[in-house]
Amino acid sequence: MNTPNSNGSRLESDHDTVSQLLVELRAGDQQAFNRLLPLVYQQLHELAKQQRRRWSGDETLNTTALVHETYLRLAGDSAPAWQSRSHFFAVASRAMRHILVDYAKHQRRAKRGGHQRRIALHEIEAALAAGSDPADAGNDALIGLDKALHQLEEYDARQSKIVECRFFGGMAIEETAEALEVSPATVKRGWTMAQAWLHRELGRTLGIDT
Amino acid sequence: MKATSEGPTNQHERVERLFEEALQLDSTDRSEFVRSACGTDASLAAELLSLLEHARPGEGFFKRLAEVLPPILPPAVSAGRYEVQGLLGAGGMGAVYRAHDTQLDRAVALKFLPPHLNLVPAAQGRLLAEARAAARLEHVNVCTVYEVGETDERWPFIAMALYQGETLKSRLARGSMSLAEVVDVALQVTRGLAAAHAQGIVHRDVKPGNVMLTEGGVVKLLDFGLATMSGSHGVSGATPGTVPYMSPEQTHGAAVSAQSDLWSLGVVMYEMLTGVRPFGGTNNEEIIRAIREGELAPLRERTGAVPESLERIVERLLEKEGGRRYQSVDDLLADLTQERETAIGAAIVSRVAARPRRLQAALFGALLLGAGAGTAWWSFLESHSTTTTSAGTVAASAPRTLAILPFGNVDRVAEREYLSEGLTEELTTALSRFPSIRVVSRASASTFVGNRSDLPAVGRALKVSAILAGTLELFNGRLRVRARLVNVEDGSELWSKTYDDNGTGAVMVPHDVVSRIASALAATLSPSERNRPNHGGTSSQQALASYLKGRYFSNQRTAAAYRLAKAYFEQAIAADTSYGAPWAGLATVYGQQGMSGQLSPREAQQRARAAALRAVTLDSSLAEAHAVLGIYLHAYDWDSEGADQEFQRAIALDPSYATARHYYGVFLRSVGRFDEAIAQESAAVELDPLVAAFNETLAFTLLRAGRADEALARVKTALELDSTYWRAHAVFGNYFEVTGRYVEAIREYERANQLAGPAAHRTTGDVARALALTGRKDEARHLLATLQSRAAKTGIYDLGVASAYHALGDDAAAYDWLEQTYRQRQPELRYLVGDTRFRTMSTEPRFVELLGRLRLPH
Repeated sequence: MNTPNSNGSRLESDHDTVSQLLVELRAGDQQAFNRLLPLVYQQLHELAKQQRRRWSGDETLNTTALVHETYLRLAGDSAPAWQSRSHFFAVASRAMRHILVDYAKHQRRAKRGGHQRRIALHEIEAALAAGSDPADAGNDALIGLDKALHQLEEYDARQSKIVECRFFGGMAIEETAEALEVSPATVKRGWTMAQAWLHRELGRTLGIDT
Repeated sequence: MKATSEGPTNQHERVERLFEEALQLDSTDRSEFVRSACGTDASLAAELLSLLEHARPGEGFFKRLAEVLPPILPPAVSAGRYEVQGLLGAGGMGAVYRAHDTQLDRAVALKFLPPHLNLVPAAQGRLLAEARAAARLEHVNVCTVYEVGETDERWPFIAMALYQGETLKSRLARGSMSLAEVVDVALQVTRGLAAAHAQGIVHRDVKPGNVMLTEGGVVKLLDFGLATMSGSHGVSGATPGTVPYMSPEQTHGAAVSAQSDLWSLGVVMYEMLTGVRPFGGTNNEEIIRAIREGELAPLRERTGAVPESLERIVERLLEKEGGRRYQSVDDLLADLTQERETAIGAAIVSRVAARPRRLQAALFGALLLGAGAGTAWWSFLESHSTTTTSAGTVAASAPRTLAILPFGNVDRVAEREYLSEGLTEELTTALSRFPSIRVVSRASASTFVGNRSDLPAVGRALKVSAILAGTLELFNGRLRVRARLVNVEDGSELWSKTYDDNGTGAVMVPHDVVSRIASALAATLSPSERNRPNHGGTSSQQALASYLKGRYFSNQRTAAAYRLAKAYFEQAIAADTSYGAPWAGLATVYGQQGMSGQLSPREAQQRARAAALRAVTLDSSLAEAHAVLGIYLHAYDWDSEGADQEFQRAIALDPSYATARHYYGVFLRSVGRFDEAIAQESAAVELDPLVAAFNETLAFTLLRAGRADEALARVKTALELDSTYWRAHAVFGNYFEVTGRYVEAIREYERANQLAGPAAHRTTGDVARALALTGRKDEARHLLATLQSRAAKTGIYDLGVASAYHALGDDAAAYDWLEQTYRQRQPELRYLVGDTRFRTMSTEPRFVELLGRLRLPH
């Protein structure tokens, strides 16, 4: 989509847009989140693709590093406030969720000709224990998690966001609290409960009993 | 996220709190608690109870997901009462984080398994075994283990004492150790081992990386990760030790006993005394063969001042047969204690310095012949040397010059670019260490690429007598590196060789190929140097790869690239906290960001100071670190004397490091020592003729020294090398201004302004001044007004603006502006001496007084 040349100038203009959107986001404008998302998604996706090519196989994506690099590229030093960074990371966590889930779906389609099979947790475990490539199991689990998160969002949007930040963005409790503008204790509580909720729901959809 | 509708949010808060409270209770009490708390709301009670059943899921769904998604690393976890603060180090066996114990209010180290092993029972078992083994050993020379814990995600970890200090490995990388130091460390490690052996525990992985030298002087033995009960076999699937330190019986996979640890200690002692390991090789097979069959080179042949008694101790530790080694640690303890009495106050053991230069030169020649370069290369060397004493011995006075071109990236995969650059840089560094060769490379040579046919022409442009060129390509899925040495005079090939990656992955190539090319080509490294991690000192391939990427970006010298460089240097540091080079890189980035206004001067000062000092502390032999520290001391700390010493130190460490001479020249100019400045900057250009920046600064210094004609030639060279380099246009404008040609001056300043990007504000003042000088005062005032309002917003006051006010005849405004820059402690103020832009102002008492306050010569 981008030639190397156009990339540079696009970055310059994105830079201002991102700074502006971050200000609006911090001021509580939720529309800013949605406008920021595609910019972050594109950049993150580009970087993730590069990483994949560069590290041909034996290393895996480091989401935290990727999110960081995306931040540097898009927001740069002009938005140094800690809260801006956290807000940005929250957007990036959502983008990362999309990227990883899309990637998992794509791989699933490629391998199984579009047929999506449900998989049980014990199968994942078995795959891991047998030392076989756990990618398939992982992809299924990831897709399952994404579905469950959609349900959780209806039940409690904040808990869903907490999981997004913590799990997909690699954000610490404090950072998550900063980005969602709640107390760290609230994040901890939400995180504990969301895990229980997801475990129960995934148990149902993936057909295991615990 | 503010609550828009009170109801649901409050309801959720309430449910979460109930959930949390219920979780604290015993499972038998939960049901009653929930029912009474929910009152009539039976569906809520049912929901809560159902969720409680799934709380802290034993099967750990997240844990399992993390296994398939290794990117989710421990920093994102909360580990009970520990607050994870940052990564201390990571390796194949796990990652160690710095953390704060909130209950006992103390710093601790938390050791985790690598994420992908969190689910493997054998790995978990090993982590527990390590904790148990270490926990049984309460000894001052063994690392203290506090407890085994589990994160919320149920990842196990060991909490242990956090020590301030460095590992023996990083200590060895810094340079030779005194005899007293060696004996002291050996003695303390032996005491730790004695405690372990007394409990029937064999460490199995004694090596410098597992020996911690704390700041208080106490030595701690770390990492009982491979420890086993005496006589038993290792945990299946475990890596049984680290190859170079393995005993012969370990290499056979045999059961290990205490004697095996003693062998490893012998290897460590040998390394501490000589800087090299007794049994080496270029790959594991060779090393293992040397361990099993290789003869031990007597210590005295490798180093001068080792007492015979100490040599006997090491020889006894390195007996191939376990039965011939010390039979008990206590005997060894007795011998070492004896040794310490005699060693205290003994002379420093010198590893390499004791070796006469002439011997190195002879060795160089001998190895060259052995490497197949043959007489052609030899006579080529001879033709440039002044004296020949006897066959195979060359006086080291006349340097031979060699350029190393970037290894051509044949299949043009952009992602391998940094690899090719890294290989070239590493090779340059490795060969630069040899005193009788002058390696011209770095930026100059990087203008050319290795796979071209007109190498002699390139060689002449670079003013060298030989060229090393090469290519990098994928061949059957493996990386292939070809290298050849070409004589510039007649274009003949003097040597060539092809290296194939051994299949372990592309990232490791630089280290491996560099050492092989270096030893084959020049054997620049004497045997004792060869095993030293001399690339700034890291054995972590991830750290090296990140560092090379950081340097790749920082060499691009743009604002955006500096930001990326910073991120990569930080990654390198995270991968190896004892690695000095990336700290020097960070210091350079901060310094540049301070100069271009991306960081406030104060912030740049603090960050650059910390980074530069860290680099020097970690690796005092790093020329780059001293050079950066010099700039910092001068521009930010206003310490000219200290800066002078650091620059000299950098140049002494690596006389062929052009950047250090370039920096030193800029420094000398800024303290008014123009002749010396021109000498240093000329040396930089001589070493690296094709760097635009070196030519441009030399031109600028020549201008300030009143040598405009020579300056013109230089600035033209700079622009030929890079016509888009904004600083060169600025200096060109300055040349026209000094010679009274204002129209051309405006043209060049404006061009600089257009090209400077984020640094444009630094040249706007120059444009305004030149406009004022030609009488276009209204335009100048208009520009200055915009700069005023910009400065009010950013707090960045550029010197050029003050000079423009002066040119408009408004000296009061000029001084006001200068005072602003002074208050902001702008680093560029330290380069105010002889600044021709201030014309008549610079002799006024008020200006002279400012120079005095800036601690500059006046």
